Amino acid sequence: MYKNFLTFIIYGFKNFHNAYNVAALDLSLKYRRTIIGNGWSVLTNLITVSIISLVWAVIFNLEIKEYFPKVFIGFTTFYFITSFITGSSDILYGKYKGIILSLGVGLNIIILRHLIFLVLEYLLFIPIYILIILILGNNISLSIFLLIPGLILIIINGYWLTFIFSLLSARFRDFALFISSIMGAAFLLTPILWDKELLGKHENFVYLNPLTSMIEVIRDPLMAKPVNPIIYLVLLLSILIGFFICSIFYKYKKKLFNFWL
Amino acid sequence: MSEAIIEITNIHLDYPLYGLNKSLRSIIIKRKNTINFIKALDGINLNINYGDRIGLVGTNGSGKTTLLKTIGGIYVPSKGSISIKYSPFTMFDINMGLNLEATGIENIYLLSYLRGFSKVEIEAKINAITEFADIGKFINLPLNTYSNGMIIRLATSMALEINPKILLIDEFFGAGDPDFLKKTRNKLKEKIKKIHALVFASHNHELINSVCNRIIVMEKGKIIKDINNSNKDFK
Repeated sequence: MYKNFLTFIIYGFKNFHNAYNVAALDLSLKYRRTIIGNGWSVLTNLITVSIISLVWAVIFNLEIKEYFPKVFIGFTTFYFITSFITGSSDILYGKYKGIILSLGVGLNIIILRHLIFLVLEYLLFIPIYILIILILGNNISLSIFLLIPGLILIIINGYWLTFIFSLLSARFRDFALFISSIMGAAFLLTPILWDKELLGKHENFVYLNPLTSMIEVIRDPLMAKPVNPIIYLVLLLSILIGFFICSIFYKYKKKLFNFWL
Repeated sequence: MSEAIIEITNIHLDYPLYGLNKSLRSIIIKRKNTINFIKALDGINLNINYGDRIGLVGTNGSGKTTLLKTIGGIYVPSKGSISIKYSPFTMFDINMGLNLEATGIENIYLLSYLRGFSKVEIEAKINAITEFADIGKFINLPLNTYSNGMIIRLATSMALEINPKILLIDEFFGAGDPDFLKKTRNKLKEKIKKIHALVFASHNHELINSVCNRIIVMEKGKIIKDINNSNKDFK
């Protein structure tokens, strides 16, 4: 039992190498016995987004050269971010319950394993993004390097999101179902298929939805667009608030975590 | 060597029950839960010293597994305190954590990483594990091609190839073919000689008697007897 949430995190990261190795093995096992292997995680999204973008581009008379990469990056990043929430729902009371209660593996290792797995899977998309942008003849600017701090901010947010959502889903079994049911609406409320400019003078209202910032912090540097500084503010704020909530939650409920599984 | 390696002082563990009778119907008609926790441990005081090989016995539901999990740090007691000098190693469900899609070798890495071993440490013991498991070329095949007996062989070999200072075992044995079982018991006895303390919960009194020098009898979450078994005459 760790003294506080910070110690919990630090001890988890002391086993980073082991968590990384296990997560890498998880990823290699996910598509085992398929011919394309990990390429499937890219291909399935590529097929879905191709169809969506084609249909929307034709209906709304949009230029596919710009619309396709915008939707592809937005779509895949959205599912990366929401996998910290919906994908974490069963990791404690389902997927890894046995190893926690039988092997005594710490929750910090489990959370790290899951987080690294999601990040490794998402990293497969980065070269694909660049390839798509180049193939379609779009510009790549030096701002592409802003992708790195953006990704780091998302991963840090991903840690607290995974922590809190996996535990709340273990404690309240209706919670995960409720969250996954609102994710469909969250997708439509986030500017992935549509441009925020359509909102005119109310454009900045989209930042009330933190998912917008999380997507734009990845998408804008890739699309050679200037990154709105408000995005970094939102992400830093959400890290502060998120970790603060987790520390309080850990302080008062840490003794009960394993009973919830 | 009679210094306490584990000190358990008056621990109580109320196992909380969640979601019982929490259907929409029960919420609407406001039916209250009559029980919201189970008293799993009730005032346990126990000092485990260097050299103790403790056999935990008692009927199902007497609190053996809960006590082991509490010593192992999996459950936190509601009251009381536990002081442990070394991090204990648990052997509760040997098949747990195995991935059927992964090969035998990959599973050795997977579980060893989760147990906190480094790659170098795993590589140093991998030959010993595969030799003890004695499953030949299957070690490089996925576990879904194994028979149940082979999975038990692999899991047991992995569990036995560790050298902890404190070992906690819960009903670990009883499966596998007779020859392997005999080999396993011999290896376990050999291993037990080297560790500082053992707590072993089992219904197999013969095995408990042959391995343990102290027997703790539990009932309804309490210790009702603490027997010296140096003469190996527990029945």
